[in-house]
Amino acid sequence: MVYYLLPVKFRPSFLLLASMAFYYLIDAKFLILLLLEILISYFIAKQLKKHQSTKDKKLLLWLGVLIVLVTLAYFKYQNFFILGLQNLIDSFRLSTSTNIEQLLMPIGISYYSFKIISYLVDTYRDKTVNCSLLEYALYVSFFPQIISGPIVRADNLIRQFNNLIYRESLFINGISNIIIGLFKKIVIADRMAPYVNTIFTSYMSYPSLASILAVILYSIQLYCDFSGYSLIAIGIGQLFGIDSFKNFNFPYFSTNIKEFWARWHISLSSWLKDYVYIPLGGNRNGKLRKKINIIITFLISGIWHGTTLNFVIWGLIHGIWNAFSRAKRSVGSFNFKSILAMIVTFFGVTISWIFFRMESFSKACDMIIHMLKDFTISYSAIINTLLPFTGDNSSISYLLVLFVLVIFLLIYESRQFHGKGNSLLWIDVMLLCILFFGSVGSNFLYGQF
Amino acid sequence: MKRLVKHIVITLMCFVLLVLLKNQFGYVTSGNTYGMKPLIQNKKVDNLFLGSSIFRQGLDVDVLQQNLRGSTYILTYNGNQPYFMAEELEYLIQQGVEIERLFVDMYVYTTAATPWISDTKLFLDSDLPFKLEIVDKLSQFKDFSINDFYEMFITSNMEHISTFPISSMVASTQFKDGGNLLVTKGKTSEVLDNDDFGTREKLNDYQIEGVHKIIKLCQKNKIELYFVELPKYVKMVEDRREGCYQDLVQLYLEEIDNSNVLLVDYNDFDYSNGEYFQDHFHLSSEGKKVYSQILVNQINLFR
Repeated sequence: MVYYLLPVKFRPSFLLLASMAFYYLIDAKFLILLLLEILISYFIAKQLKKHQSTKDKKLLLWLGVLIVLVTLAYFKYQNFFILGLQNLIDSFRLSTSTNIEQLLMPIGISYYSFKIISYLVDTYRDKTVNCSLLEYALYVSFFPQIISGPIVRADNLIRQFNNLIYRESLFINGISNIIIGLFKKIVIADRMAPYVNTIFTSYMSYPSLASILAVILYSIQLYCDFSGYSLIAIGIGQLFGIDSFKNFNFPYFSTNIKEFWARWHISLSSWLKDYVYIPLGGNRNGKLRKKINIIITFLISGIWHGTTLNFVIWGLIHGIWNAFSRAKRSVGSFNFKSILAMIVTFFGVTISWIFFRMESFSKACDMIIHMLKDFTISYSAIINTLLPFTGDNSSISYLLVLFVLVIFLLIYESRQFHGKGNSLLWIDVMLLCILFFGSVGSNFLYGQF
Repeated sequence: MKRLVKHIVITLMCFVLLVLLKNQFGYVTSGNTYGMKPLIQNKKVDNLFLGSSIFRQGLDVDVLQQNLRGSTYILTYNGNQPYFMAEELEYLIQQGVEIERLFVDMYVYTTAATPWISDTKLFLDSDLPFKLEIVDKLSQFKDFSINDFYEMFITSNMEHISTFPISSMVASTQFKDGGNLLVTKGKTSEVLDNDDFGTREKLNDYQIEGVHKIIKLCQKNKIELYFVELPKYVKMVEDRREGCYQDLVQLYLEEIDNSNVLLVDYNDFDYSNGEYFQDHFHLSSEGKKVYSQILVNQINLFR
């Protein structure tokens, strides 16, 4: 209300203040770092626009990108090096363990760093609109998107800052998106979290059936958690008159891996395509080079998510799968062949999530071996698979409710997938589910990256 | 916009209505083989065992029913404490349930804690006035957050209510007159010896108030009252630290003047046999069978 009472020209300033206040509340000690990165990158972008010589521009671009990447690497990957150093020291000392203090990572640094890089590169390519420091600062720090994206491009966002007027249809979409996002996050993802966490932490104590169920549930949890967050972020933006592209476009309805990556975390995938894959040469230098470029891009995606070997393996699996997949990105209707392809893609992606979820590569392998080697179906295996839901006889009703909610979401998404209208009745039911089945308190899974 | 607001308002009105219905009539969906509902339906019980999961896991309903005179029912809630047992007893009496003999769980660790709602199933089994009264009484010494209220009146038991035709059917196969029919395995003594447990400073005043309320209610309604202490694992029984379990048992006994107490005679029950225990306080199916036979002999002898 206060926002729309303000004159249109003051609205970006209001949003910037709100964004700064938000960041101060969630991570006060790194607000200065955010402001510094904004100022330095804005200054470099200004210089990029002034200079005509390609050599100077390239130098400036590399300087800007390096500053952002070094800062990102310092906070994100220093713990990896610290642990390595600690292990090295310990191996020499043999006796007591050395404790080197580990660094905390500024919230949202992975996301706003990518936004800054895309702005610098787009400026270098003369693809950005002119903007003031205020608009640029708002683009980088826009509060609904700072924790876990989506990584919206400068061009798309900054253009809208000049016209932040109330649009009823956008406002209604915003409310709907927030409700759908909350439903996915606090009704479905958070309902699965305790079970998934229990089994992934101590999979050997449970039947292999429990591991299989936990892996499938994790696949759904991750999707609902992250796409739920993205919808909430987009929805909040829409309430303030800012529209963004979808970050998830029904990825589990994909019939092949290429289609999956065109639908999953779209803002990151397209960022990697535009700022890593294409600069590497894309598909311009022959088939072999194209495959190598794809694998390198996915490896970088894996390393962006985490420094441990399991993330590298996860990136490698997807890189190789994508590079050697012959399937074309196609959106077909639901028929036997396409449903079968969807199931195969879903299970392939689901198995790869084990490397994504586990804290180490060896544990991920152990879990897969446990799932395959110890597989049995018996009465006691079923009971011990279900019990971790609540620990008592209510586990069955818990699972039943979860099953019904997932089916409800599946029907809703398949309707959306086929372009059927967004009836408010669905939103009503989701709101009721949030009120009766919602659980509040857990973090967003993608916030850690 | 008007349409959206209308939808949200109608949804919220439906929500309020459903919350009221749930809290007033939710007990209809409760099982017929456990909890308060079967007791209220039958209106009469000769032997009522009122307690926590210790009773549920430690009493064999078949052994009790075969060896005790009249009907027998085991009413348990997880972590049930004297404060709540008194409220449950009062509620049952108000609902017109006639009780001949009452056996109360003497598990003292819960008696040492400030009363808390340890099992929201109690909120499924009762009507709205009972719930409001409980919250009102608890709020005199306990701070409730909005989250607590939300859980108690809105989210609790929703899984059961929304799937009750199936979940009640499943639960019915697991219980008989409140007794647990599931087979539970014991542990090895090695495992139990490695597990640890804490000590408590003293018994809680509100819980003791509950114990006295139970005594008064029984006197007023002419109910024979017995306090029952179920077997605990040897490590717990022989613990001699300050504030150990046995110290608290002594404090409890002083509160009830050592009257009508059924303590375990550890000469009859092998409390060092890990096979008889799931953990330090809960008996396994094997331990339950052995102990229940000892208990009925004790009751019949006592009477």
